[in-house]
Amino acid sequence: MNRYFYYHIFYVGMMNIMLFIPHILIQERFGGAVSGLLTAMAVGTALSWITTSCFERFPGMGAPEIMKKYLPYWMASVVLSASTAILISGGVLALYSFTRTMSIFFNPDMNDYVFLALVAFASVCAGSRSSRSVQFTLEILIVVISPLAFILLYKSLTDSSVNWDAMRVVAGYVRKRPTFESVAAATFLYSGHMNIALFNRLHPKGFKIRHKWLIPLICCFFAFFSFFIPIGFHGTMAVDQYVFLWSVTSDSMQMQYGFVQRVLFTFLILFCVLSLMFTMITFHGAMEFIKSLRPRHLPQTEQWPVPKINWILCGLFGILSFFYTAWANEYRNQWAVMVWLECRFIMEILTALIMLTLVLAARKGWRRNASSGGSAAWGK
Amino acid sequence: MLDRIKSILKDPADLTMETMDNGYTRMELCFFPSMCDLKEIKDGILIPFSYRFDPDEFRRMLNSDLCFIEAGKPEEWGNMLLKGCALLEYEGKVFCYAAIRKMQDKPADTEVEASLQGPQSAFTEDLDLNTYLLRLRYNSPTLQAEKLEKGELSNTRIMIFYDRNLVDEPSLEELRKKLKNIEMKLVQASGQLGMYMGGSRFSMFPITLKTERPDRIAQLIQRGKVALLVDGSRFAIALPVRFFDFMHAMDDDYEPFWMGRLIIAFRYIGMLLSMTLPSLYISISSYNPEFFRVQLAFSVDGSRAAVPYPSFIEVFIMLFMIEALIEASIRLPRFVGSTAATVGGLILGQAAQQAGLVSSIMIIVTSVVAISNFVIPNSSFSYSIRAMKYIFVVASIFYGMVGVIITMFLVVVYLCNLRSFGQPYLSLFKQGEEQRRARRGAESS
Repeated sequence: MNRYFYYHIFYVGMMNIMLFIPHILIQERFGGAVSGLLTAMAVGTALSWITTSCFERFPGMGAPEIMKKYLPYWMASVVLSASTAILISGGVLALYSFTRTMSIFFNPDMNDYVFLALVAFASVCAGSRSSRSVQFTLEILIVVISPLAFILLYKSLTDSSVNWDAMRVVAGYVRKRPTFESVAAATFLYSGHMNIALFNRLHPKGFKIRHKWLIPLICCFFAFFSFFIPIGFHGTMAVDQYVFLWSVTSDSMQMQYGFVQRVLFTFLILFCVLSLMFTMITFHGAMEFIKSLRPRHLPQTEQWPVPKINWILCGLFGILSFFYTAWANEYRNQWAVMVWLECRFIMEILTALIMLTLVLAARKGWRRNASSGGSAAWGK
Repeated sequence: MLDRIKSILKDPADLTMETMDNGYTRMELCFFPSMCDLKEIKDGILIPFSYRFDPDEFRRMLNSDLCFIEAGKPEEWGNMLLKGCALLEYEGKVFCYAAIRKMQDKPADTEVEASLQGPQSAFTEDLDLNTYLLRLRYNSPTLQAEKLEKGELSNTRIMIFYDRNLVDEPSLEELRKKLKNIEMKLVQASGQLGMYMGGSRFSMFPITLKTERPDRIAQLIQRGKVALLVDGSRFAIALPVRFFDFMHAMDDDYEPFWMGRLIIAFRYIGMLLSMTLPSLYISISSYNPEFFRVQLAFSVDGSRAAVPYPSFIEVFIMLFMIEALIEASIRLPRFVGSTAATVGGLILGQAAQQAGLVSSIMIIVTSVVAISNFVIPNSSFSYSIRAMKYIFVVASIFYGMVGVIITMFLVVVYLCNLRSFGQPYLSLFKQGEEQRRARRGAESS
């Protein structure tokens, strides 16, 4: 079970590239970006450790069950709605960025909406499955795409045109004060642990996440990798010219052998699957949270066949992404992503605090309605 | 008794009904000569009754011989006769003598799932012989068998086998529930039953595994699965199954470990190619020629120079040809089969390309698709893969390369969503759990 948790860390860590986080950070490369990365390392690690250890005390319960058990109903529903909104908008933003990237680099002639229809269909199909299926899918996809990730990694670390000095120059600006934006953007890399809020439902009793020291290690690696490698390729100045920074960066590399010459396509395939995974999990999470807003909702991790309500909810998210595409352009999307990153950061801190309080409350044996039977399931 | 049978069966022409008199006493005998083994009837009933007759001995034989079962209920007589038993009434008691005619008395040879160096014997169309084959290979007291009959008109006998220490209980429960709900008129083949049972008539992938190999069934039972043997069908059904079971040939276990793994890896590559190659061809030639290195893109395009229509029409032409060829060579009698292969090979080979109907790359694509489809060891699974490639083709017609990738994603989602009798169809590392269970069972027994 442990590995499933780390898959979430992995794919969210890689997903930062699709949400323009390197671009956002690079705008501040002479400002607070590097120190922001370091701050995010501390903050992100602390948040993930707190949140995961809190959830470990409630085995088999997702965030909705825990909150509904220990908080007044209105408060739980407010918190849950807020996280749902964060999840949905994350999925929609990823869908939009993905559509844009693909239409720029893969199918320039294609109508955005036609393409979005396919992607939205895929995400709706994938997101509406049961939690267990989603987890299996995640595992299979991670295994399938990891060779591509290794190719990309290997190529970018061994390419002769990488200028390591440029990276050193940027790394020298470590003494600048980090800005809120850069920290909010950089902590996204560490937010894979937030998926435990839903997938904790699948964890059996006595489940403990082992090797937690891996979390900062993995995330730091991805953070520095996705921030510094483009600087190495484009130089300290030219690097802020690109919005789709990593697509351009990967197009600077080439493979000498084999059918495919441009590393760009390796990159695009990799992030095609990653974005779909991201939207799948955000849609799925949002769907489950909305379903559990009903006071008497019984969470089910395995449902076959898929109930209609799943299709309807996920379909709504899909339609939402059409509206967003109609409204957004590159600038608006940049702004929206930034706002989303900040909200997500605040929400993450809030969740960690709430969970911490709830664990303390549960330890004291305090519950909202003690008469409803069953004992608090924390610890042993 | 004879009047009663006449009223049930309405005196069909192929039923023999006799009242026999050996000079001392009388006996009524009734059976279908076409369904019974006449020699056994002669040895078992007629000789003791006629020229070796001894009233005491005959009575003792009727009461104690295992072949004679007292049939007290007249309403069962019709069914007994139809199963191939002979009914006899002696001194007011009715006995049923099982003299069922057996078509097969030795195991068949493997035809569909050939193995190079594994066991060559396969299941037959006779349930009792199949039971023997299975018991022979899984010679353990823990092998549990259950018997039932299905089919309103065919009354087909079905046996369920499983190891009671190892079996996955929830799956067994679900199987029983599903079998109870099946209402069919005719059960002719195990595949038919498997389809109705899984509720998977519209599933894209088989969720029960059909096999003609007793060794495979024994191995699957050892891994905690349930096997169904159907009378009159060469194929046994195993369930619940997983994606990986279909890609596994028995030879993999009989060869050295690494050779087996290597072959399995090739099989997966073959499956992927067979699924995606036509659609990749469409996307490369019509959408994303820049995907490949320049030289390769040129040679793909150059080979298409003489072709007057878009790539997907080319793909449809060639895919239709190859499907027709495969289908023809399965259905045709063996004598004509080679003709089909020759003619088809000629068309698919040089001629179509020289006529400018298809490009030469497309011919390579077609043959790779066909050949690598045959690499899949299980035929119902290879049917699925054959069908899947059209979904990919359609996606690539409209979306090019991205369409193929997203379809791949959807296929993974679909497979992960699929359940075979409550067990996940595609999930990694489940094998380990099965093996642990097998070990645990071995320790406890």
